[in-house]
Amino acid sequence: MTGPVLDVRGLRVAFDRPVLRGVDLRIAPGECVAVVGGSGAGKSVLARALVGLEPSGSEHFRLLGRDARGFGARQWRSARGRDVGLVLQDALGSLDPLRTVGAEVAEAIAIRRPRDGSGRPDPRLPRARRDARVRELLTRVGLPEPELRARQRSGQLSGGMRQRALIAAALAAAPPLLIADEPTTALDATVAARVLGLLAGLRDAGTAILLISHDLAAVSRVADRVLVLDDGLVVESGTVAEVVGAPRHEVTRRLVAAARLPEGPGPVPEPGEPVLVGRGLRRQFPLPGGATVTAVDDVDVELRAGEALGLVGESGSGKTTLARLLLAADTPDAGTVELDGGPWSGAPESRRRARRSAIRWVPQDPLGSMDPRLTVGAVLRDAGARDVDALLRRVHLDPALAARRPRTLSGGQRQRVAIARALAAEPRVLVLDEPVSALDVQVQAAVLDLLVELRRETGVCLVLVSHDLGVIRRVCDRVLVMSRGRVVESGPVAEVFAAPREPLTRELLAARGLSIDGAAW
Amino acid sequence: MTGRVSTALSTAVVALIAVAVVWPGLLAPGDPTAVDPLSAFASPGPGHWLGADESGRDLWTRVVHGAAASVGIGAAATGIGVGAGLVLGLAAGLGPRWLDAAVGRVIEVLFALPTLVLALLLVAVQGAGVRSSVLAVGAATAPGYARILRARVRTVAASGYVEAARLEGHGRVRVVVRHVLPNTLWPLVSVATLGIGQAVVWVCALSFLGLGALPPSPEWGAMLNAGRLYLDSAWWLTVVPGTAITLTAAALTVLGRRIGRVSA
Repeated sequence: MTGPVLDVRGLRVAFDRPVLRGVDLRIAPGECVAVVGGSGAGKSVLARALVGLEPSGSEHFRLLGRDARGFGARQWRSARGRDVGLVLQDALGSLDPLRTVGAEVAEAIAIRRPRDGSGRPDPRLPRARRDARVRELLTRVGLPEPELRARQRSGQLSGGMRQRALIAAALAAAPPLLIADEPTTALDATVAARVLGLLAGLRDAGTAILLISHDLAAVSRVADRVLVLDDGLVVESGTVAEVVGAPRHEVTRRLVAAARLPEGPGPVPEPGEPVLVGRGLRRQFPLPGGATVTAVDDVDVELRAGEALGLVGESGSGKTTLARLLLAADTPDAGTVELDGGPWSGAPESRRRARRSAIRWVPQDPLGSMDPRLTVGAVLRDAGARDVDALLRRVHLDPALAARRPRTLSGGQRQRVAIARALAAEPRVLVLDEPVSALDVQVQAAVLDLLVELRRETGVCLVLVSHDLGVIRRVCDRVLVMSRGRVVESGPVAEVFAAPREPLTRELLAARGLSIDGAAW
Repeated sequence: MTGRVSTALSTAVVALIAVAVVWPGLLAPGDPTAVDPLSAFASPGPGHWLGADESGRDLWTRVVHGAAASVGIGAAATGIGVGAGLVLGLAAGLGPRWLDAAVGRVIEVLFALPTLVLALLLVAVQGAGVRSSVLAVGAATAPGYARILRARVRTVAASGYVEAARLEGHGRVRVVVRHVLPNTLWPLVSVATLGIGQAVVWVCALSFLGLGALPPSPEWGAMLNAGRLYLDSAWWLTVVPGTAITLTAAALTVLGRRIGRVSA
């Protein structure tokens, strides 16, 4: 086919207010177009409207040369998966937990048969040949040991494998157009890089790809053209080099700034006395079948007054377990943690309780950490806040939010509330577990700025867990790189970044948005 | 039927039943046991708009006054069931592991018997009557509530906000009172509303079998049993109390599900 795979002009979607206000989009075969924008820009609605999942109006809407404006539910159903594949962000929620990955992909193969030359679906593939096709697809998306993976259920796979399995299902009918909505947001940096590489391979093989993301750095490695969406309108478009090299619109400039590796925290006070010290920490968890996995293996940590320590590593490297040991949320199997020179991990909980105001936790999932029945004000008062208004202003939130329930807040607001809550008792140490990984890049930057400001103004020490070296560099002075429960590299952030010794550190660095700063333009 | 219409209808029916339980005279000023031989077997129409029974007692009056017996007993039985379930469920959910295991085994044994069979067994031990049917239905439904509650307590106790409160240095008692109980008990309101409807059916079943309230009490199950003899000549003697039971159970079920969706 020679014409564009998708050609849309003036696409509009409105719920109670307009969400998309006239979007133009054209994708040619073998082209990868990225749509980027902040939360609420209308990106996901665009993805859904393009596969007929949202009622939309448009001046022109051609899918594979056919006018899609008059498509009914039946025609859309026939087009979805066959003419256009959709890969959603939530890979865990999109896979049936009770079925094997092979069954999921086989179902896609059975339902979505490619069209032959005359536009009719091919005959159904015989069952015996479906298994072979499943293996072929799983191999194609780069799943290791496809035979084994096909027999596993989604819960047994890692996030990156699940995302690949979903892409495999979307590719079942070899659709000429693949729409991927935030395919890498939930993945850690190195895994995300591999999934993006997979998409680039598909593009080179002739599939048109529409990539939707909030992260300009991620899409810049595979996209040919970029559309910047803001409040339902395309505010800027062009090749990646144009948009990244010379952003014209303010939203684009913010996205580009957020995608660059950020500056460090600036001058910080000299580290003082050791506050939190872990020696020889080890934590094992039993596996089904009697074996054990060592999540943290003989780790020493020392945090001095006024210091910010970053823990970085891939998923499963033990960084969250280590953070929980430092918090005394969990007890080490070997080794000890001392807080302010006194026993911490070894003390009974009844003795620890009074000292818990000295060390506070900012969890990865702020919503889940707040009682759904309580208002923000009640959560903060429970945490020991005397002046809720002042505390909310401290994290740059409107004091009026105190009367709201956490569920009604945006992701960035929730994270700020979680930080305010942790600060309520004026602790000496904050332990933050992936505090920004669920936020879009612009909100991330604002929350990280807040952490740097808090450090400077209150002198609180931070232990920051993240899979993103950019986050660590923005906030921390010292970094521990973890792999399989061990610390493989450590030192001042500037040194580790300038001269990484370990291949893992180099890979993490390469995965973090550096392509945008590279020599390509 | 759309959700809103069915919710409004059920609310109206439940409100009407509540009035009949609390203040039956408002809906039917007559005496439910007043005998009037002249209007025996009067068919539904003017004078007796739902008809009259073999002794000429007005059926509308009897059904309204019977609500206190049937629904009242159902609600009381549910109260007992929820109360016993609370004690068992909280003990299992919050207590030490051996207590959880012990309660779990007891619940499993009780679950092995269908609720009605269990209730029959308890009535057989205690003897027939209103009081023993309340106790029997209450005790027979308790294991279900206990199991729901235990699961809910476990879920809440493992939730992020309970851990966050613990890491803030709040003691065990405070965490239970402030977080675990409120988040556990709210969902129970919906389950209990569903349960009243079911309990009404069981209470009526017991009195239909002559094991609960006895004639001439206007209890719906007892009325059904009395009307059974005239099924081929005077259908309204069974259809009227039967409809009352069905409507009550259906309305409470719809309402309970609605509450469940709202609180979820």
